[in-house]
Amino acid sequence: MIRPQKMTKVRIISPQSYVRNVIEALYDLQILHIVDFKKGEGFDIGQPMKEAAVYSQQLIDIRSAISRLGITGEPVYLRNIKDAQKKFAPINKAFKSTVIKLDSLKAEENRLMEEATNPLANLGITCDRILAYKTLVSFIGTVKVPIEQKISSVTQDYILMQNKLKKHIAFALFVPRTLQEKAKEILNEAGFSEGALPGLKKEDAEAKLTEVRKEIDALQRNLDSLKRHGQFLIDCEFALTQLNEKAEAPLRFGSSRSTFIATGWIPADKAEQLKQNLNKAARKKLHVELLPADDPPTVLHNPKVVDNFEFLLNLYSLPRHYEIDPTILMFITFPLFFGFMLGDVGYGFITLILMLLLERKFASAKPLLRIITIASLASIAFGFVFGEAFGYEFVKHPILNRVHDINTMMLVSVAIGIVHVNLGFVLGFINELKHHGVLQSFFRKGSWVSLQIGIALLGFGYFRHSPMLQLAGGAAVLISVLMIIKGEGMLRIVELPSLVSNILSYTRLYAIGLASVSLASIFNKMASGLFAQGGFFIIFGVLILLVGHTVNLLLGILGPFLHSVRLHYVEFFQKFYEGGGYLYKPFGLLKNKG
Amino acid sequence: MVVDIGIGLLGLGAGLAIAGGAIGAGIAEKEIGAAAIGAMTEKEEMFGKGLMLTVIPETLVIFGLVVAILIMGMAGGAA
Repeated sequence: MIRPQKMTKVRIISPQSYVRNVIEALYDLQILHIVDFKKGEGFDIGQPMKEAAVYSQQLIDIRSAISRLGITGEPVYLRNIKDAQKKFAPINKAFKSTVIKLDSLKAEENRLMEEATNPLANLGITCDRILAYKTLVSFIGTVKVPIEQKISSVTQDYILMQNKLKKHIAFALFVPRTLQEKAKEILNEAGFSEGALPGLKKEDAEAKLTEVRKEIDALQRNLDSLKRHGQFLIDCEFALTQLNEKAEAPLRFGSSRSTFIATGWIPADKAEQLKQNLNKAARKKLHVELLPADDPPTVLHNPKVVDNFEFLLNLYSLPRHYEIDPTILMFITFPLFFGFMLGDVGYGFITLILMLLLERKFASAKPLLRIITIASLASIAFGFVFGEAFGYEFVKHPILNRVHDINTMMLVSVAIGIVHVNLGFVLGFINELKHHGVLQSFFRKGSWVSLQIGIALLGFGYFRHSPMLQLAGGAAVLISVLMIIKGEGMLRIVELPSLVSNILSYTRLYAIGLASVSLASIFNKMASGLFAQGGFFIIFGVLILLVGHTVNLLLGILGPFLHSVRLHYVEFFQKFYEGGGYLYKPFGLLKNKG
Repeated sequence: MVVDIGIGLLGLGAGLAIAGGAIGAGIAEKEIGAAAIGAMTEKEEMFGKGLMLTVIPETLVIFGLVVAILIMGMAGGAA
């Protein structure tokens, strides 16, 4: 568990006649991370199985039904897929026809609504027989200001029908064609906006609208009744996705006319099991060979409770297969940092309860919630060390008082920083050992540790007024710097100050804790002041306590979490971690449930 | 509470220290946060990485706070 699991690359070769059996066997085994075949050298990728097209189409239909009907839920094992497909066909037909009718009716409804609210509806004209005349020209629409006067000043030979609305005047104007241009001018001045006459009378439109709406409701009820097939649809979708994956698998294999080649990664200890199962499936007409290769997917394997912390690694970047897996170290240090920062019995306890409750509701976020649960246990422990509960110091002389023992706390934080950073260097040393050998590793990582020892000796010697120690320290520093240059190049010198800033960064362990305590004690002081006044003010006091401590609790979960993680990702990982591993996705992950 | 002006100035210095740190962190995190939200809109999984990167400038505030505490320590020692 200190390194990711060892993986071997395998190549499976078998006749095409057994491709189905082999795929089934691989899907059940759930261990092969397929490396998709790349075309070349006489081999092409395979053809998907015939039923893949059918499955794909059915999947599209099912998925659209599930999303349109808004069905959610967990799939359950479907026993007989053929019967299920037959059962689905009429449901699908009903669904599709209902949806098509519903959509067209909704479009009709919109059209009718526009008609019913057409501002030109009450002019007293209907239909379209008025629009095509040789000597008359018509204008229909709305204007912003009255036009009667202007028109009558030009000619008496006109027909104008108007209807005053809130902000415009709906009108229909008929003038001789000879006056077309003049009329246009007048209308444009008045803010003419063209409109279309409604095709139906208003009452007719409204009647039809109610009819259409009734039909829409009926169809919608039909659609909703289809929801009763919800669980069936979800089960179908799950089963079909599995079948589709298997049917399309040949696309990831290399194929010739008579053979296929599948390449992928398996955990090294499963090689025998793979050979046995596949030989059974292909009646021994199969060849499995182990290839030497260098870029396996990363499989972390950590013991039961520790594996929750893999969540933090997934968030950042998975380790390469040759690196150390820092999960188990994070299991120890992350709760420690979190507890040090939150350090309050009351807050820790409430966080614990909160996380346990949330785990029931959001089972999918279990790793994160478990991480915070473990961290809250550490907070409670540190709460007893600091003697704080909800910001109130309930122990007269605690081991460490956060508010008053400022210097001690800063020293403790810096000390934790030194230990953590050097732990990083040690891990870096171990990682480098694999690649470069003892001397190089020492030059690259060990030199930083000896640098710090040198500085410590220098400081020690200075304060003890001992020239011997100072000399030893100075020599150590010089040799370390030379080793750094030799091991990692001249440019690394610029990183020397960053060593100091990285270690000082750990003072945030104290700073954030102090902020949390200060905020809590302020609320406590305010509330106790109000309590002292008695009577009505007690209610205010309780309110302030509730609101204040809730806010402080939320900050107290978010802040320490982010800063602990940040300390790990930036200060700790920088010393040894490479990352960049890719996730292990074995074929067959969509396993039957139940 | 009447104190010597020297102590008062030390207090002012401490306040400035934390203020400068906080403003610096605020400006830095503003830009990173905006970019993080943009990335998140396209890809929900970016939330973890985005949040992490946004909080990186917190160091500035920490240093400000540490300096402020040290200055107040000086003030307490001088009084």
